[in-house]
Amino acid sequence: MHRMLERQLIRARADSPDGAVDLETLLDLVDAAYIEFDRQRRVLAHTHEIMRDEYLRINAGLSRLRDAITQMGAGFAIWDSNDQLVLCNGILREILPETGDLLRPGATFADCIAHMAPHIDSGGPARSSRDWLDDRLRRHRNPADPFEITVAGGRYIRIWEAKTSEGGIVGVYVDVTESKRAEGELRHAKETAESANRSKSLFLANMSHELRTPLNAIIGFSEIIQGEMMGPIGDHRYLDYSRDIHNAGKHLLEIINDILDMSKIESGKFKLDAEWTNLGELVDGVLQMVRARAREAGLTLHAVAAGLPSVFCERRVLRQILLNLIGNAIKFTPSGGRIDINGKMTAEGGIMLSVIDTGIGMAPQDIPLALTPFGQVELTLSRAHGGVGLGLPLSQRLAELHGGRLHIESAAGTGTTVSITLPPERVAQSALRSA
Amino acid sequence: MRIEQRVWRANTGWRVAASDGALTPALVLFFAAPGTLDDGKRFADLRTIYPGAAILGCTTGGEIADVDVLDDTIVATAIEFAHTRLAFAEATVDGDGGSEAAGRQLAASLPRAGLRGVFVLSDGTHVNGTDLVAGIQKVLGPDIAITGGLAGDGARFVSTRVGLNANPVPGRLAAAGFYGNEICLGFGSFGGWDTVGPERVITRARGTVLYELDDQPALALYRNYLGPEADNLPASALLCPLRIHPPGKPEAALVRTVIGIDDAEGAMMYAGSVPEGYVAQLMLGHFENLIAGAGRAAARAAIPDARLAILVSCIGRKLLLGQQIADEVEAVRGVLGEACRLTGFYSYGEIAPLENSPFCDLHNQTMTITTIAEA
Repeated sequence: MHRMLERQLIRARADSPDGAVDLETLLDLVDAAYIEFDRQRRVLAHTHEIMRDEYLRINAGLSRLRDAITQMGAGFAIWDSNDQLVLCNGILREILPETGDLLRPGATFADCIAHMAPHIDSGGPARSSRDWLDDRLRRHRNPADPFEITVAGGRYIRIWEAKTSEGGIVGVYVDVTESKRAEGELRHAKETAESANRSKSLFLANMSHELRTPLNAIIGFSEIIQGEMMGPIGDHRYLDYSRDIHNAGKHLLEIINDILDMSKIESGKFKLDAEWTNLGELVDGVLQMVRARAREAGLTLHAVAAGLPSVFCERRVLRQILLNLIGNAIKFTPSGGRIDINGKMTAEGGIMLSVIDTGIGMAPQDIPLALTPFGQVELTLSRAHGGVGLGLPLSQRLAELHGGRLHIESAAGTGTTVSITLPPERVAQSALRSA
Repeated sequence: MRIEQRVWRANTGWRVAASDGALTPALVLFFAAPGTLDDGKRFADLRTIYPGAAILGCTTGGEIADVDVLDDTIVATAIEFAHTRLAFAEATVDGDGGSEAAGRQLAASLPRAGLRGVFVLSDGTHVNGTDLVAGIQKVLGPDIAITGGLAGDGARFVSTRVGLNANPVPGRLAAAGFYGNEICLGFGSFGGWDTVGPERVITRARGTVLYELDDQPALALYRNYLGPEADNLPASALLCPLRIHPPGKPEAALVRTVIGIDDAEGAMMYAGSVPEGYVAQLMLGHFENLIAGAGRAAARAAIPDARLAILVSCIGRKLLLGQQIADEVEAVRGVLGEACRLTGFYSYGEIAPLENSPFCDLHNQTMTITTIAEA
């Protein structure tokens, strides 16, 4: 008799008041057992399906992982808790050909690196291959930051290792020889550039002295000749020539000063010496300096200087900016034209000074070029109007040194507006401060 | 040490199933099918039959007497000790939050001198079994072995009862402490379930409530695993226990069993804690492995001259093995021998020392055996 049926008989007997087996009771028990078996069969069938689904799921995940490891573009290896290779990808074998065909599942890490040791640049003549092996094993067992090893022939392998939860090690190995070389070249290029820049600065400092010394003689002596300080000059043409010499010398000095300022700004050596300055007085002073030139050029010059606030700036620099801008306006505005100088507060509380001319203007696409050092819009212009194209870029950099901006609006044939804006913190907001 | 075992059935009333002769028991352990205690008469019967004994018992998901697993019965085992002294304690537990405090209170009521072991019965639906055991152990220390289980309510998971010298009621814990040099206690606990499918991480959980595995609702995963049995949730979730372990520490794995579901939240509720960040894997049962597992538990619990074995087995095993559940009790008998009488019940959680550790914990889905002998 099957043990289950035997149990049913015992149960039927135990449940009976007189100890006799009642057929109805037994049938009920057996029927319940059959119903139970059907249920168990359904459970088992579903279990089978679940196992199959989970198997497919796990297998799909495994395939994805294997694919990722194969395609990952770096060497990859997993070592188990006994330090034996579980798996690695083909790239690892490619970047470490020194391991021969050792990199197979089951290989120990110690064997693999022992095989590599003779091919390793152990980091100096004092370090033996034994030292390298010990060091490498220590790093492998207590992985921390990534590090590099150098394989004979000048190849660099970057190694990143970490512990796995089962107590093994996972490693990523990247051949960085190429980026090392590029890094070296970059470093070399940078050093060369820095050295060139140092030479340039030295050259400019020297030139400043070497150029200004003879210029001072030229400007000074031509002034003396012009003033006939040592007695009258016979022929008036000598006077005209000496004036030309004097003007040409001063122009040359301005250009040299601009170039020096530009190079100082570019090398970060330009230090502002700012103070509270009455902007109205400063604009008036500039107007006096340029009025004669404007008149000679047949231009009318209008300025509203009254009511301008005090600004915190280097006076010489701001004067230079205005002189540059007005000088340009005079230079590029044909006779009969007009130049306006306006000042107004910005919405943020800064100040904007604009120089507006009715000159030849330029196309909007030429504005960036005009702001590039030595980028005077057309060579023909430079020939016709003189100058080396430093005025605008220099003014822009000087405005920026004050935390401000320089902005150009222009259209060819209708004129140009150049504005400089100083930020609110440089503008006196109260009568007390502007006093 | 002498034993008498009685079984009550609706059709037959109380019957003596086995007896070592007239005895004066110090302890009567009884395990009762839900519903059989409602009118209080069966407890009154026991009080009358064994007037001087402490009477400790609970409701079950099935009763074990000798080699059979019974339903709708009460199995009472009266034990007379030759030398061993006993002390008893009880406490009330009111929800998960108070489980550890209740455990501490229970343990504090037991005199410490000469204490050798504690057998605990607890409410099975309103308790965090993990916290309860931790509370008891905090007071008693790691030297005292704690065994026992959480009461059952068939496969309904609604209301469970525990009682000491009174008709059992919900929300109660009770314990017997064994004292003296003559008492010998053995323990063994084993599951025999097989993990299937991928490991998943517990990404959202609080206390004993599991919301998400791998960012997916836990309930949806169970429904998929259970297939046609999903309609019988939460009971059918016992067919798929959950094995959990701290990340990177598979050796510290525990098995958790479901005691309820929250359809609105898509959450599962367990008899013990399911900490966030732990690795979880679902399990399925293979009949032969579960039956062999019961045998392994018995082998671990085996002590010389054991006279009584208290089997606390998981309701989930009974749910899966169905008509063949008695096979696991027979496997235990096969290991412990004819001289060792068997009693016990199908529970909502088993309590036993952890393997290779002095600490006790709540187990789920296991056969957990306490063997008793007197020198």
